[in-house]
Amino acid sequence: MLALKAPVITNWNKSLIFGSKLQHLQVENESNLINLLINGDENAFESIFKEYFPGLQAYASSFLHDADLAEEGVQNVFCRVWDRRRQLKTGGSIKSFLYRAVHNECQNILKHQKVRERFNVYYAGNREQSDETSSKTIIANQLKEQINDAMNQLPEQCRIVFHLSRFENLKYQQIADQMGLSVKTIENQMGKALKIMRQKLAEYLPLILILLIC
Amino acid sequence: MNKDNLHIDNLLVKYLIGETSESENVQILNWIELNEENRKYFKEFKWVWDQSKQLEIKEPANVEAAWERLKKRTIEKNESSKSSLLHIYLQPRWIGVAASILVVCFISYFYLQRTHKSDIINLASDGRVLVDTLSDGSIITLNAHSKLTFPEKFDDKSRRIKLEGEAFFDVAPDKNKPFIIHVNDVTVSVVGTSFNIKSRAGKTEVIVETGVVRIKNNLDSIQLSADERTTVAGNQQLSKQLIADRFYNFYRTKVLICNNTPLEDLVSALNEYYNADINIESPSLKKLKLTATFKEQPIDQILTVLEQTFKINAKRNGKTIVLKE
Repeated sequence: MLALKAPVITNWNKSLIFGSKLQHLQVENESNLINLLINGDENAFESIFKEYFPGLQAYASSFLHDADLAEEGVQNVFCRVWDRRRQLKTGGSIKSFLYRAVHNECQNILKHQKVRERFNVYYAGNREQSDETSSKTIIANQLKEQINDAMNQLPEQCRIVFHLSRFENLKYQQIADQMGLSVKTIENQMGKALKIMRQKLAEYLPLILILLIC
Repeated sequence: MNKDNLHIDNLLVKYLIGETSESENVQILNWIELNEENRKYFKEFKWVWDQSKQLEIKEPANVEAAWERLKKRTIEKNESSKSSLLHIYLQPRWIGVAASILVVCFISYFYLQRTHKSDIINLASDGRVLVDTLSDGSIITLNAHSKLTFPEKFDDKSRRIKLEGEAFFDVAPDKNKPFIIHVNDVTVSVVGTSFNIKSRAGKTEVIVETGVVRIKNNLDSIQLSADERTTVAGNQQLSKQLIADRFYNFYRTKVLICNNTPLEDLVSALNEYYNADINIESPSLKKLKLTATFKEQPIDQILTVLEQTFKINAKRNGKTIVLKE
């Protein structure tokens, strides 16, 4: 994306550094990291891992509903990154690459594992209502599962953008910068995400009224 | 209409997140207030948005522990294997050995490059049909119990292959390098075409699907075009006929297409491909014409169709089946 070289510090450049070019430097830093990683720099690998692991694990958990399995999935991705470090391409967004890789890894894991049963256990642990069996709770839990399914069926980029906005609370501009996309694309993906989820949940929409009334 | 909907969806989400500009705010609020349907749509969007928050994963990740685990799987795995090898080979006397091995490798590499040597590949299908792509992009479908022999990399002047049995060739065009197939005493040479060669019990049959093929035996040579067929048996003069049907494709496509095909031809095909033993009783039945397509159907179904079409009876006698009035 950006052709980057080591910055030459002249007087002119110095003033720019304190201006709006902080963004530029952040991306340049990232490009350096990738170059270091390609050459086998272990510290660069560690930096990248520690920076992105929490977000990636949360992302994987939303598919796999199991923290250990999620960690394993993310680690698998990083193992492959390390093994193939020499073939990495510079000039892209690390975050985009990693989230897409984790997305695909989760799809693979889901194909080979029966993950559905974990849903109730995983989410029940977060709520105090694990002993309550009122019909309202049952309906609410089933509904939650349906929403999760609808979300997980979103197309790859749409799903990732939605996650970054909803769960990492990033603004559109931030998502655009980190993923290497335009703000317009982010707007479109978000609109698409809600539209698709609403369509998939269409049959449950009447239930809203029931839940609100009880 | 669709584009508008997309725009509204985008604005609604922006509004829910709180990223709308002043003018966008006004725009979307106006849209929502416009009618009941819009209000309902907005409520549904809002509901999905609100509900999705519940799916948030709240457990924080333990990054340090995770890093330690990853380190073992990656960096430390590499280092342990690296160090033991390096330890041995960095001893002074080994360096001399390593250097001389390298020299020998270089010399033999260049020597091999010059003599254009290439691995010979034998491709044999046992009971199955095999498809393979050659280094020039040609695709070969090998029928059961057949064998192909060819070099991994073709040389500069031609592409030579040896065939035993039956195969369908889809030859990638290359005017400068004719594709030459040796089968028994017959040589088939082409530039870029698709055709079937069947060699069984001393007889070689070539059917051309597209393009032009030149066939030679010790005595004669002939040129076949699309839909033409020739059968070579021993040292005779070569002649060609037009094909009557495309049954030869059965092993590849599993489809039998009959287009005004005489019943006796279909029966021969069934006998060959389904390993059946069907006889037609009366000569008049043999010439009956059939137009039908059978796609991967078991032979019993095909026989039933024949019975109904021609008002005949298929009588089984052990493995033999007789078709009669």
